[in-house]
Amino acid sequence: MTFPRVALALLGILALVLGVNLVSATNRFVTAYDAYDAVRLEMTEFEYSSPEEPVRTVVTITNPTDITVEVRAIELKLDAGIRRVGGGETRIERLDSQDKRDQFSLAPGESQQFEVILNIDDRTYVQALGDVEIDWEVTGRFMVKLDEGIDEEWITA
Amino acid sequence: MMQREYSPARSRLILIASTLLAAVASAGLVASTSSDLQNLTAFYLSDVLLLPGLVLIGVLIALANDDDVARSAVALLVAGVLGATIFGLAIAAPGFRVEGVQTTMIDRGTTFGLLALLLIVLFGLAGIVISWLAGAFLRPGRL
Repeated sequence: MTFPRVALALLGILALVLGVNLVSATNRFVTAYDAYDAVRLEMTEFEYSSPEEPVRTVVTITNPTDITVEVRAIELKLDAGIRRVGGGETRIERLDSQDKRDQFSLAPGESQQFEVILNIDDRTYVQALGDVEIDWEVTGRFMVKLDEGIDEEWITA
Repeated sequence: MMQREYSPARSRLILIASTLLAAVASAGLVASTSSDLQNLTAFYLSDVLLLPGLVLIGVLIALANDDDVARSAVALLVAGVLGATIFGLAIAAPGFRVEGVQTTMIDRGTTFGLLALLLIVLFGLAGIVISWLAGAFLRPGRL
């Protein structure tokens, strides 16, 4: 066997092994982003009582994909009209029990509800609004992890 | 060692085959050591293998083309463009499926594809030069 043939054979082996790596990585990369796009967050409960009390919210995160999604954090911002008046978050690492942490792992097709308490920081502004109906707006994002090989990703809700 | 002269058609075939194989190998190597795709690969490759791997691919291109520098350089340049395009498309792939990351991922794919082109060509060229110098020492009559 001559040098060119050996070199060509080695190139073929390298191309095969590294090509498999390329295809498998690309496939998992696309699957992950497909899942990021499919996971949804919806607000299901919003309870406001007074400017001095925190606002209790419940959000539902749905995982319509066929892979398990782990929710790592939920961050919500609270606006009264055009002004940001507060917010709140819940993070998996701050939970005290394993049962609660397990709820953050969404099996394929599963929906899970999460309670997020929003603190009102700008109480003066909310008090100044008086008895008029307040136009509340809640925006936020949640962090999910799909695969040990991929960093966590924030998804804007 | 006796050198066998190949017919032009056979040489052309080897040139095309080595170019295509080098393109896939280069794209796979860069992908296997990139921050985006490294942890998603079937076989884990350390970052430190990137540059020696590209040099090795250059050496193999030169050897496959019988140390003909001009043919090897053409094969490497075409392999570089093809490999960088394949790698850039792999990075940009989510952008073609998910509208929300279309701009980000295609931009990222383009940037890293250009970087891959530079790496493949520059370090592949180093491999060709190494192969050529080694050939000059081991087979002085070919210089």
